[in-house]
Amino acid sequence: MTAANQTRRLAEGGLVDRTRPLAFTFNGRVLCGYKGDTLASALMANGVDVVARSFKYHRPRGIMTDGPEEPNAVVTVGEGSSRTPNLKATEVVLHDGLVARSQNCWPSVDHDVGAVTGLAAPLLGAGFYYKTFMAPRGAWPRLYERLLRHAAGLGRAPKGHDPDSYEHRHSHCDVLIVGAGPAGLAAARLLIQAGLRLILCDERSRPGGSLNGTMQGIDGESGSAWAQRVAEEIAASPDVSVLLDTSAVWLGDHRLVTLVERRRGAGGVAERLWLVRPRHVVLATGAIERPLCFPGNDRPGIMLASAAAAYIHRYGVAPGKRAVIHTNNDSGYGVLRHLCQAGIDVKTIIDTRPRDAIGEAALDMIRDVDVLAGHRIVATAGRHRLRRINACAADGSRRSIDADLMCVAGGWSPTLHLLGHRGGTLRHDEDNAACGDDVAVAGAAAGVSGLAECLADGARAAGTVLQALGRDIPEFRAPEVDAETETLSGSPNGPSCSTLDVRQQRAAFVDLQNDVTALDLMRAIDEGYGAIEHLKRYTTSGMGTDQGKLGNVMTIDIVAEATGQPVEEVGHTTFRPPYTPVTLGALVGHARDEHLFPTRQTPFHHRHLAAGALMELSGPWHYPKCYPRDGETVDGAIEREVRTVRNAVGFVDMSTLGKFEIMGSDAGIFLERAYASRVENLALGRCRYALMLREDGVVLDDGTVARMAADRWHVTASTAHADEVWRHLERLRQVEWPELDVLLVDVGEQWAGLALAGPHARDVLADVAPELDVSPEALPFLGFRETRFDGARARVFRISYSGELAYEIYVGARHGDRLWNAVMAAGTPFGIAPYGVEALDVMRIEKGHCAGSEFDGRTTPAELGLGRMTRRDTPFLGHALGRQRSIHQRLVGLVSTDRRTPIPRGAILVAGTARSRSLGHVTASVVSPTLGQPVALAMLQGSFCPDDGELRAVSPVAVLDVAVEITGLPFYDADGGRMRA
Amino acid sequence: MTAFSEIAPLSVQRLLGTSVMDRMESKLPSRIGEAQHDGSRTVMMLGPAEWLVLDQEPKGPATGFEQPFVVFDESDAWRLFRLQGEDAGDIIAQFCPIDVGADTGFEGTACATHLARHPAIVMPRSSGEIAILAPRSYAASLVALIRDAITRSVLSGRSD
Repeated sequence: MTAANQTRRLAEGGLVDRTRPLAFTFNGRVLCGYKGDTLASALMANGVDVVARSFKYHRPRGIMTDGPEEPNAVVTVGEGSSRTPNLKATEVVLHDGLVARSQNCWPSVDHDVGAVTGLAAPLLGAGFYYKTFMAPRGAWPRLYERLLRHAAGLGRAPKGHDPDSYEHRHSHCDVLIVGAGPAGLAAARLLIQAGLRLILCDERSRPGGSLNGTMQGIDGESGSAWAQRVAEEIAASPDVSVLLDTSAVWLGDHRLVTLVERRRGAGGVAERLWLVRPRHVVLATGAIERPLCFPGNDRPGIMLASAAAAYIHRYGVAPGKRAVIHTNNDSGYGVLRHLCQAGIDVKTIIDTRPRDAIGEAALDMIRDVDVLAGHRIVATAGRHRLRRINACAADGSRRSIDADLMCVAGGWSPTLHLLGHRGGTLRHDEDNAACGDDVAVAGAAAGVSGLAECLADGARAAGTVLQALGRDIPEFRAPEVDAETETLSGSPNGPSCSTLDVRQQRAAFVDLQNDVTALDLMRAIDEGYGAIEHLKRYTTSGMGTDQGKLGNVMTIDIVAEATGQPVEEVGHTTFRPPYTPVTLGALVGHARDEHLFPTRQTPFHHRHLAAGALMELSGPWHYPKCYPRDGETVDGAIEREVRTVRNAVGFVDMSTLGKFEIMGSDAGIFLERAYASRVENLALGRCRYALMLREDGVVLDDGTVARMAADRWHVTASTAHADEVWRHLERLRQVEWPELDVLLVDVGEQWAGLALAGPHARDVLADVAPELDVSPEALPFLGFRETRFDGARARVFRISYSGELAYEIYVGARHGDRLWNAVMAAGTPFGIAPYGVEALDVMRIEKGHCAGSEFDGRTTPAELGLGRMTRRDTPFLGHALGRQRSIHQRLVGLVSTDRRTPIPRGAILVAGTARSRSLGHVTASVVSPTLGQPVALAMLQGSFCPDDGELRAVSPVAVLDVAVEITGLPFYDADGGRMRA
Repeated sequence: MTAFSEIAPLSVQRLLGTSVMDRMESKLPSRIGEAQHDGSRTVMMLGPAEWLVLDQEPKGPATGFEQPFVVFDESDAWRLFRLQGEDAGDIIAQFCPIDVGADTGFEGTACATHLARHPAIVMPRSSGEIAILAPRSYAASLVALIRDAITRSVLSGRSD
């Protein structure tokens, strides 16, 4: 298809670049548009009438607006994994190669099987799903739910990996101006004179706002040319950013404003989400024209009057050939001039007002046009495009008018959604029937009408900002507006709908996207849903992707009329962010794939890889799961690693543990308060296993405390809780006990650590640290020594997590490689091998040691069998409330009754049948290579006794039901002789 | 073009001390977030009675600060990177809400912050040059993040 096939493109005019044709595809047809087009304008230029189907009744729908308020022309753009559903054609900037498709239709948008739904419309009124699907009860999961899930949702999300890239950008400025229309530009022009840092954003590709859709002139040039020139002036100023194709979607607390910049087709980043923190915000967001509610108001060819003018002037497209204007205010007459200029035949204006209510200026514009004053539309006809309109006068006389375009003008609603996000309240103004806000905004958004007035109001808003910033207000030279081209302003002084008509006709739509009719609203009100928020939820009016930008005011009008309340008493529903839909890609930004969250590597990371480790993420840490050898399964590798430690010697990376140094004359007192275990009496060169509790007596973490000097301690925290423990300790120091002389340092990043474990651990250590006396007498169990390793400082702790003779060796991170090599070299004669986190977990379960799954934020020391580790004589954090807690559960060991069947992790413990009441859960489970049978740790209700019945571990997830028996803990080396060797 | 590279070797000493400001005022920055550059040495105040001393040449323990401070050698805990080029500020702005505007006093500061949830200390050295001090364990993840951002910046380019 070539540019010549754009049958509705005007011969001249518009702001598109006719020298740059762009090929695109819509529903498989190759079409052509121009640079500067939106998808909507290009479709219109190519004579495409039906763009989409409505959600519920699958009615054919065309283009109704020229902006984010579009309820009808919702399409899917892109193909495959880069497909984006639910985009408004009016917001999609055309680019070469763009592929778009109608949605919610099959097999095609022109012939949609789903349209049969419309035949059942009498049964599918608002809230029908609350009244049906009740019986038979069994049909709900098998039939109704499936049907509803299939019907729910609009568009289909892509399933593959999104090939586009997205990013976030934080930004600061003195003033953010939202909207580069006349008011926004006037404000920006004044503010840059004061040298402020400025961001000016607009959702369109071109600055100017309404100036691009009218013929208004400023300072002797067209409004659009003036806007372009002024925007270039502004952009050229220092510290000013002008962001086009950028929607402000959320105004949050402390003026944090979220913008979405759409850059598809520009190369590189597809969308950029801006997080702007301005000192002041100027909202020059303009106003949205309202439609009118009448039977058959959804046919393709019926569009807002302002949109018709915009398509003519901005895109050089004639939206129809024979037009009728339908209005309830004088501004509707303004479009007459635009239509005539585009060569569109306008014969009739249907005005809901009596003739004496029509303004003189409006009547002066009429030339050879029949004005049907006091008429209402009672029906429209046309299958895929408007063909005929039937109007009815107050006396019942009827007129039938042939037309393929109806321009609807129902007045204007200021675009104040962003204020609503911030909690601003809107009030109804009887004088102009528009909503204003008690916060200063600029231009049409503030209810100001008329170009000259909007320009002046923009300057006023800028002055307010400058005053607040304590700056001088520069003199404002008001641009000269060409009076000949000034548009008509009009407040609606006629009805926007007739409840009499809409009660009789089903197809008078209020929310066009969700197919909510005025009759639906009436019935909902009759059923008691008179409150506007209830009505919204019951009927779904205003809950589409357009968020009711067109329909909400009509809904309020209908409720007011039906209930006899003033509009201000009806109120409005809550505006919630985002203002217009935002893609998940923009929200996620860079945080995907490998950048989903920060990850951490230990100093031994590359050694793990070189050793063939199977790495996994454990929280943020890249950690070796195990080190499978050639032909070895994962389970086989884990079993081998456990046997190596139990029978010879192995080593594991311990660098991920939290490590803190606590020093100062009050360090001992500080630790004594922070830990439930006694630590202050710890001798120099000794360490101790210790518990840290929360204020409520629940275990926060466990770790070791080592005394390095009289006033200096080294403490460790579990990998999972390291950050939390650090924050906890800092809070205690700074907030709870600031009087103590204590300094804390997080030294976790400084040290690289390996734990040597196994019967030959001492032999290996002796070789690695020859300066250290490793004899049991010199370095006993729970001993600590500082030494040298290859000339560098090293710390050695004799601590065991595996249950074997074990030492933890720490050196500076940069010496990690050398430590690994030294350990491997020293251990080779003994068959040393590295082991991973899985083997470590197996061995701790065999030893009955608690870890994260037991320290789950609900367990107390007594419940975990660690009560002996808490002090009874002196208070500590968690002491007072912990004493008041009763013991609800206890840690137990489990073995499967048949000694063969593995016990599922996370299984529920029940006595008797699988449907019995839960008595606890399995926290950790493993098939022990050492014991040759499945063993598990579990939290079991304290009230359980064997007389309750056979204990079973039931997992609905794994579909397993295993008979188990309670055993004592630990499972292995009960007297601890091996680790004390 | 934005360049990103590691500055090594590095010596980092953490100074902790209370009630020392009067005695050490001339040597140390006195506002939290302030950084002083002196040749290859940078001293920054991280918090109350807490400073970090960076030497780009390994010199062993920082000298001149032994008393009345507790001095910790953290040379193994950090890695220092340099982001240099006209887009350096924009790249930082992708991951961090600090104001990198030229006239906001950003230069001469040391901002302990998070870059896309990676803890880091961001230090502007001069126009178009920003140093980033990252905890060792996070460095690889942060480097990958910034390199990808530079690639995106190049691709999207100059159309900004």
